[in-house]
Amino acid sequence: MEIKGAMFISNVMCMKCNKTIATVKFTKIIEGKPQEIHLCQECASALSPYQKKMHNLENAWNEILAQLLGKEKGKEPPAEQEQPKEKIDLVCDNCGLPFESYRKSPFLGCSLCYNTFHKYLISDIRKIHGGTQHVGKVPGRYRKIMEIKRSLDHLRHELQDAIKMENYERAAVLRDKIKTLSEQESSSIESPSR
Amino acid sequence: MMVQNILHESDVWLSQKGPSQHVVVSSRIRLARNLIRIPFSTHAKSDELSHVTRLVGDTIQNCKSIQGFNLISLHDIPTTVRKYLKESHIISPELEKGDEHRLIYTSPNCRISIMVNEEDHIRIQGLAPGLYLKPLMEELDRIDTELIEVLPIAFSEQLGFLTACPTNLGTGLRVSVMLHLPGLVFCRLIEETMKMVQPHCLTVRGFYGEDSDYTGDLFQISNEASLGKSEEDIVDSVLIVVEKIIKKEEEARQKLFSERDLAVEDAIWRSYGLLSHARVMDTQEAMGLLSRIRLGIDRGYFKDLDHLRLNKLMIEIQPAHMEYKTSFKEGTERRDTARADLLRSIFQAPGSNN
Repeated sequence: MEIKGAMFISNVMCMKCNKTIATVKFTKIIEGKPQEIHLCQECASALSPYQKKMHNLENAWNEILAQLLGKEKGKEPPAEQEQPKEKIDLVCDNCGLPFESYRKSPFLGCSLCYNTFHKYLISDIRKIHGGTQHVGKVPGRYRKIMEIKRSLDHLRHELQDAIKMENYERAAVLRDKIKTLSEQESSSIESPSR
Repeated sequence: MMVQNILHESDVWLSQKGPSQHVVVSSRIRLARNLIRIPFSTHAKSDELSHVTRLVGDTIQNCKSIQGFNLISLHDIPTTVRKYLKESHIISPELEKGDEHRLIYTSPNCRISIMVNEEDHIRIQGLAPGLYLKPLMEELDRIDTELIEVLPIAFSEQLGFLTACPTNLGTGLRVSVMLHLPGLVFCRLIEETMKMVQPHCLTVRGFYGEDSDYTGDLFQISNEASLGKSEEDIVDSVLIVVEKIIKKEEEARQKLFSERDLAVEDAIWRSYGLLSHARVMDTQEAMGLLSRIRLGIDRGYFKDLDHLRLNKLMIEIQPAHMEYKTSFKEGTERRDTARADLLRSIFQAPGSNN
């Protein structure tokens, strides 16, 4: 948590439009020192539309900081200015959402977008959550799939060992087990998609 | 089920006693879930949205833990009623828009609500007075389990429950606690206290969630990250910080009262003066004054009132609540008069002929 907004009444003019009296104050703690930005209601809500989450506010903050408190132009470019992102021409097969449209709104189109755009999303996800591996509740049918996967890994290991030891009888048994489990795995993966 | 009854019940949860109520107004937990393949509600077409409402509706009918819930289609109720439900925290601002195929199932005491086609297909929300996270989480978990074992839920081993916005991935869990912190505000310790929240990946919001103002010294603390931590750990991390803040607030109040800070006493009694005599009052002003009164209760003033009554009042004076109770048509001035009337009736000055 770094940015806070608060209502207050002041005689300070909005630092963005400089036309209206500022009614919203944002405070950001930079290296332990609070810095304030005063905005009018309109500019504040334009910068922080509902649902655009905190990172937007963060960008807005940097933008204003650069503009206003902004040291001499050119000399000290804002530290967090992101490099222009390359255009990604990827579209979700299932819902038709182009990746570029996710960049404009914080929403994905459907659950399969996460597969399609995975490698482009993962850094955003890490930024938001700090981690990228789910820990916690798992729906029953996925729990089954995960168990099967784990047993498959185990069996494959055993199979390799058996082959190494030239124990072909055991290897054959293991191969059969792996086959049955793999079939189970693919059938349970399909069932939730119905 | 008549909408009337739901409005009647929507604030019942507020009248119940809860732990740490002198500081904690309410606890709220929500889980976000989606169905596989069907576009998220933000992108779905009308027939896809109605497909979701059908699938969820059929499942709910057969869920033991969701019996006796009332169903409202938000598209079919007046704007004021939707606003009312938002003010009571029963629905989200997204559902207040009242688009088609947006439903809400509420438990008989409105403590649990299941929103259908909010930004996610399903959002299960629990509300409780005071600091009441763990039992509330258990209650939601039971309902959630029944739903997700039957419905084709979008889930990935790596990212957990898949949600419309990546900010809700993983557990899909948001735990929020509404705190009343007049002591820390008075002592100018609030910024410092809120800084404490930062390393715990928690966020501070205003009374009505994202981007809302800190009206009436009310602050909402909630978890920021939902992926990478278990449900239990998320609840614990919020609890730990909230308990620290409660302690700080108690200390601040103690300090204010033991030093007999004249400015505080003056602020409390001035608030009382305005509440008991004003003829016109907007929501913002009333919230600020009620906050002082709530502090006064801790000081031992206002024997007829308690924290519960004040919590309820803070909701009752909201615009749509005023409109509904007074059956006035929309109009700020009349609403503000009605609000002042209501407050005068509660804070009647002895001997005055109000």
